[in-house]
Amino acid sequence: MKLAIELTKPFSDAVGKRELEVDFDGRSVEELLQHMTEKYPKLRKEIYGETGEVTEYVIVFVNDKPISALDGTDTGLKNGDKLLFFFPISGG
Amino acid sequence: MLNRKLGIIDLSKRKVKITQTPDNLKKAFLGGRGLNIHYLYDMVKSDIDPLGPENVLIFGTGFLTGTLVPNSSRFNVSAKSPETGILGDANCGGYFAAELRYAGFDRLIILGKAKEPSYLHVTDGTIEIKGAKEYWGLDTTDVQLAFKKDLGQVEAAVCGVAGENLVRFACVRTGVKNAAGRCGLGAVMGSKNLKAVVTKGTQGIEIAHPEKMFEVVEELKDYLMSSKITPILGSVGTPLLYEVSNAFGAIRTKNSQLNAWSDTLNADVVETFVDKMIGCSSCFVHCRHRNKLGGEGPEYTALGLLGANLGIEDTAHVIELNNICNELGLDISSSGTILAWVFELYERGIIDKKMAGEKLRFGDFELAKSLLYKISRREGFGDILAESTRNVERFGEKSKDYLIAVKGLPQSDPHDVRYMKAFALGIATASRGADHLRSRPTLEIFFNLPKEVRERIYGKGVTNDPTSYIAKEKPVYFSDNIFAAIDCLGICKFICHGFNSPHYVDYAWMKKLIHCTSGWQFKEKEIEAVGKRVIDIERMFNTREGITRKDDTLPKRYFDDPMPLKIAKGHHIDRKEFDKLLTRYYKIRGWDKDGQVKKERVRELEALQ
Ligand code: SF4
Repeated sequence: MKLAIELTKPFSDAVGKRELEVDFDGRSVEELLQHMTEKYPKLRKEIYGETGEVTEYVIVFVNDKPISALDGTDTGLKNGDKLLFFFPISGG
Repeated sequence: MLNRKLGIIDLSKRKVKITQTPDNLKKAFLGGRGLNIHYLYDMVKSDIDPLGPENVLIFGTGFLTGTLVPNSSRFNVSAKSPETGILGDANCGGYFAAELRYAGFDRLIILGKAKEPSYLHVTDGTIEIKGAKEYWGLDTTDVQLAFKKDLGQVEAAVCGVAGENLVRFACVRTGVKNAAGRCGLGAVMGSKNLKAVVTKGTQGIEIAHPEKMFEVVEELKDYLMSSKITPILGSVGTPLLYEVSNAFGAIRTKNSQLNAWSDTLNADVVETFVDKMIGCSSCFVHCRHRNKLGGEGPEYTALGLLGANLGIEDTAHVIELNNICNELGLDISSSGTILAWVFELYERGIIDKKMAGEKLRFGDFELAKSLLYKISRREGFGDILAESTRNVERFGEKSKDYLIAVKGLPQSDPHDVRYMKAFALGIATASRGADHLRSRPTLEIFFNLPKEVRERIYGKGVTNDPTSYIAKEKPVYFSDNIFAAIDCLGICKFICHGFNSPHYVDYAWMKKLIHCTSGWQFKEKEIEAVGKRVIDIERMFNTREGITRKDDTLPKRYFDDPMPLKIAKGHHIDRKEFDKLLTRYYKIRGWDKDGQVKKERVRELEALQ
């Protein structure tokens, strides 16, 4: 399946691009994260914590919902899905 | 620690009284925003003109301000707001507040009006009212440099030309960019003929348990540094938020007709203008930029409201507008919101060239720049714009449909709240009008927060879906309370639990910090109770000014126009769901169905006065 992925800092810095077209034959967000971190090793420290769990400092949207409102990293993906990765931060 | 004084200055009578806030009041309100609203509620009559001599202007430092506690740089400025006619209150960083405490004072209450331009000179235990004729008319940085030249290494909180000219959204400024920005408190200074409060102190702050203090502060620093957010704030600052909000489709654009704008305002472009990162007193985060164009900033607010909201793409132009607002002493949030509002009104033919004096349009940097100068000097159309949201009367009822404000206060941050329902409730109920710094439940965007952590913080039943209305009163209630408490302590909200991270200063840390500085033993629940008390009295203040349930609402556009772009496309606020959410918020807060503090609670709180 083809996925359109938009990345913001620091994920875009780790990949070197803000937008990716990923051709991917996995099923879920979890598999996509593995696929992406294999392809872009610098992304690993931004996505996974020391224990290998996905850190709380990454927010992944699949279309108009965060994966936490769906099935977390088990969220299924389909051809044409749009994903956004961003870092949770607030301010004024 | 507990021996700082309260200065009461009557500018009309040229009298200064030095006294002290009793310990029982400090225990009830701690300091900062809390003690400010205590005095304001007691001293301001409801029918007064905010720009008249009867208004009371308070500069109040936090309970921990000026100590070793990380980011304890803050003070609150409070008065009845000339912009909204309700509570005016704004929190500010920089170096002024710590210096005021070193000069022996916790708080200054300023009454009356000076006959001629004046400033207050506060040095070790003394307050003098001095003439400021030679400082009147100077921009905010120039006047501070002039004070330093004339009086040595002083710190000053000043108003700019906008404040002198009673612009209803003039701010109080200290340093190049730190602002008690909201609610027009700079105009209250101007109305009192008060250009500045200038201070220099040499008195240290006695700490009850100094060794313990070192220990706790070291532990806290390590804890704060363990969050990934701390180094990002210290290297990129708040501009990172622009990119996040924009990618998401949540950046107020062209008066919220759109919800996404150009990548040219992203953090990596802003970085090319950064000279260095700087900080406020006791701060180890250092989230602010000194820019290469001769000023400080821009923060996320300036990028959004002077960039996307005005349809301006060029980063250098946005930074220049940011620097101009800072120098003139204009609140950036109101400036960007009011300009975008009239640009749209002009496009729609609700106001015309005869009134505006020229063609108004989005995307015109020179126009925006000249209007900012005109506002600050109240020249031509600028004189009208200086009246802020009160212009609904002049422009006509229809103009209100396009105004992005709540309770007369233009929305503070550039975040379009139509997607995240808790954010929407927060700006609708904030005690000073549309504002994110009162209650923004940022953990709402921490979508990966484990359920048990989320429930421990916010309570049961809060869903992981930011578009859901279910139980969203709980994150707002939690955030309201803890942000009020941290404002009383004088610690920067950027390191408050729940504002940027679940790992920052929570009630347990507050309890330790209060104990080692003052020796006072607070329970965590008692600190939370301080926050609740503050919010209730702020509401009582607003009730006296006529605020009811109908005012806890949102701009029409947020209800009726779905967001047009990106991920957030199609989302808006449902009126019925919002109404139910508001009812639940009142209930959890213990207010009645009309959003008023119940009588027995009013009696209990008034007994403290
Ligand atoms: S985090 Fe930023 S705003 Fe807060 S005290 Fe530090 S420099 Fe000032």
